[in-house]
Amino acid sequence: MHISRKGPLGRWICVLILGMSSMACESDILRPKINHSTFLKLYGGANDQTGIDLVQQTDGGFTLLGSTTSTDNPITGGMDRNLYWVQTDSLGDVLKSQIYHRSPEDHGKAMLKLPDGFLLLGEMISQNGLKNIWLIRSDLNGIPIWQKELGKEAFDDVPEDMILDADNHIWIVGTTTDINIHKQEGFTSDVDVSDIYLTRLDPQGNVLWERRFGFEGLDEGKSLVALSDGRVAVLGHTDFPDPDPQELDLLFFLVDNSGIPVLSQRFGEEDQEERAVDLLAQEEGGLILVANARRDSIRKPYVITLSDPNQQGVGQAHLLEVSGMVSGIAELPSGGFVMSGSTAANADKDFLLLRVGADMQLQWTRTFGSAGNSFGGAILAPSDSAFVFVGTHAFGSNRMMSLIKTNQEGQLNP
Amino acid sequence: MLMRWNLPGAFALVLFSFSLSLFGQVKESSKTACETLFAESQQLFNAGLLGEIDEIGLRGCMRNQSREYFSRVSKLLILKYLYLDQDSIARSLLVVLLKTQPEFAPDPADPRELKEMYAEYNTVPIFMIGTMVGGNLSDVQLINRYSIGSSSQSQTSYRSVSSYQYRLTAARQLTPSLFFELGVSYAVRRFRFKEELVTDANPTVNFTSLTFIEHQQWWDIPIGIQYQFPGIPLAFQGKLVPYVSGGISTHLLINSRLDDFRRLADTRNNDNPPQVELTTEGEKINIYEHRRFLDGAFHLGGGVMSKLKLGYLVLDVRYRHGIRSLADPSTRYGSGSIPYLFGYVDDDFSIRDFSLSIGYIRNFYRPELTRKVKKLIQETKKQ
Repeated sequence: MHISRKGPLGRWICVLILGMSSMACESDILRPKINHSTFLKLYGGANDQTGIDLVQQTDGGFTLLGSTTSTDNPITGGMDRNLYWVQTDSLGDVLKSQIYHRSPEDHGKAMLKLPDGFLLLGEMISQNGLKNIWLIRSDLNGIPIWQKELGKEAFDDVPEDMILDADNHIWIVGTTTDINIHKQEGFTSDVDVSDIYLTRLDPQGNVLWERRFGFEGLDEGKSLVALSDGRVAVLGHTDFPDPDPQELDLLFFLVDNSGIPVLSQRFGEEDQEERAVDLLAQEEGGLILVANARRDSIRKPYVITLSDPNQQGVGQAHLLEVSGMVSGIAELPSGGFVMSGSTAANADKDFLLLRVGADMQLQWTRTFGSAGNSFGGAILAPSDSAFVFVGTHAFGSNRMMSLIKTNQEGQLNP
Repeated sequence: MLMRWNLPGAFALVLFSFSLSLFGQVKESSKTACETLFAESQQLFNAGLLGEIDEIGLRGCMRNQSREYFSRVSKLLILKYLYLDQDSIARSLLVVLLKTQPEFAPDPADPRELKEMYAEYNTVPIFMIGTMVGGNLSDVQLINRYSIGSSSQSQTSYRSVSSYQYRLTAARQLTPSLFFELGVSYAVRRFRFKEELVTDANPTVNFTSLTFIEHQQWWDIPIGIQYQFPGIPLAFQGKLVPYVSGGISTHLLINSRLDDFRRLADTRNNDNPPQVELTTEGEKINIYEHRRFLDGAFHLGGGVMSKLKLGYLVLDVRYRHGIRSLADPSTRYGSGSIPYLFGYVDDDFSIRDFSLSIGYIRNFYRPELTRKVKKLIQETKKQ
């Protein structure tokens, strides 16, 4: 039997019974609010899962991509790591899930929602033990329609991000160790480690062209977005000219639809490390470049705002005074941004959620988690009052794919 | 072991034994004399020689003899003064009798005058205080489900687990049949929680089965009304007094923990189990920070009381219906706590329980004229 706190009788009885705390009857509750507007959900089985990417469906549900080594895995029984795809309702309850097996070590990297299905971007191990790109086109139930393996057998080709352009062509960015093509004579693996890999595919996954960008040393591609003028912006990092991993800078460039660079910029402080994470296009045409910087051995989010990507030297750098690393960013409908990631907590790492204003001033940070290392992945801001991010949550001796939905204050409490 | 006796010690022992024997003989002699005196007085009363009754002697005997003797003599003297039309003395004797022996009641064969005078007095207990102990079964009412797993593919169940409570109770008479009750109880309430996968719709991995027993410690403060029905005479002796009770209560949660916490992985899709333990078996997890400490309840109950000396043996059955969800929504996902460590998120739930208690309640009396008689006397005085 429950009594509505709104009714005068209910309130009178509440005060009578709970007597010693009439305040409880003012603000609280004989009948709890039925409120699942926030939640924490874990997915997976015994052993290890990761949560990397996230998209929202039109019905309010979510689709998550990561990987699993669960011993309950009906395909490989936990012997291999496989792509793990989960579809939930708006409350985070599982509706469907799939496991995709290609090699002993498959990792989910990025996902796109199509009108009639999904595009899943994965990393796999080729027969000769090198990393390759694995692209899966599935229907709405996650059943594969076609699959493509991209990259050269003799090299590592590691995918990181994927977009669709206006022609429904698929763009993939990542990193390759295929460094000798298009380089000047004398480049060898002794002086060049990796380059940024960029490819464009038709809607059936056939390669239209492949490009490699970079300098000597380490160059890695991390994210890309399509601009309204048909160009594509790419974000990565490079250690050129100083091959010291502690001195990485952000490398940003625009390419036309043939993959030809039309503009490039470097961002970062001299003798410091900035690692590229994500790239976000704003409606008004600006770009947000998200990275993690290292300052005195402490990782901090580092953001470049580009009001006009086509103009050189207009970037404004913001180093957020937060100890932690971000991995995803989402823009709020009313302005400002939320970012997900991880932060050190005691000897472990917890989920990190932070909000900044449109001026990149830090508004608040939240942490979630307990013992073990937890990492946030992609984040969505469906509204100003709800933030959702996927992640990898340490749970006992296991790691689970996780989905956290918070309120506008970044809290799980309603 | 042999004891060594010396002369003074032996003498003291003999003297003590002799004294005891002498005291017993004196007491026995006194009893015999008083019984003889009562028998003579009864004969004089029956013969109508009321003035010949040795009232001083009887009163002297009343001080040393049994309660039953006191009652017999009091009744004889009350009747004497009733027949002498000295009602005020008879009343004072009756009040003394009721104060010293509140359980006194005229026999059916006693004279009508005594029964009528007795009926003018309130002879039920005005106050009762007692203690009870017993067991309870808690039943959880699920209000709103939460889970870090998928609610749509799993089933949550709560099952009763027996536990116990102690209660101190007091009651104040409102009318001859109606009492106001106040109590304080220490109660342990327990229930078993289980969440498990109930569908095979999901072909991939799941971590599913979660079980624990929640162990809660409470202070209960019930207030209510008790209505006592007329007693049912028993074949052997005394009578059973049935009652019903009802009221409201405030409850303070003082501790709550999860015992035998187990989270198992689902291995049904795996041809080669075993079950995978995700958390440590038998772990005791404090969950107090996730609980509201204050609850309210309605309670209904009943029972029977059987007379024992100046009180009652009581068998009490009670149903308690908690009205508030015990899960604190503000700490449901508290950072660094149970959801993240153990994969458990509280449902919104309230508790109702049945309890069965036995105990003893001591009665306290204040014999005085009933309101009706008092009112009658006042009206007579006015006239």
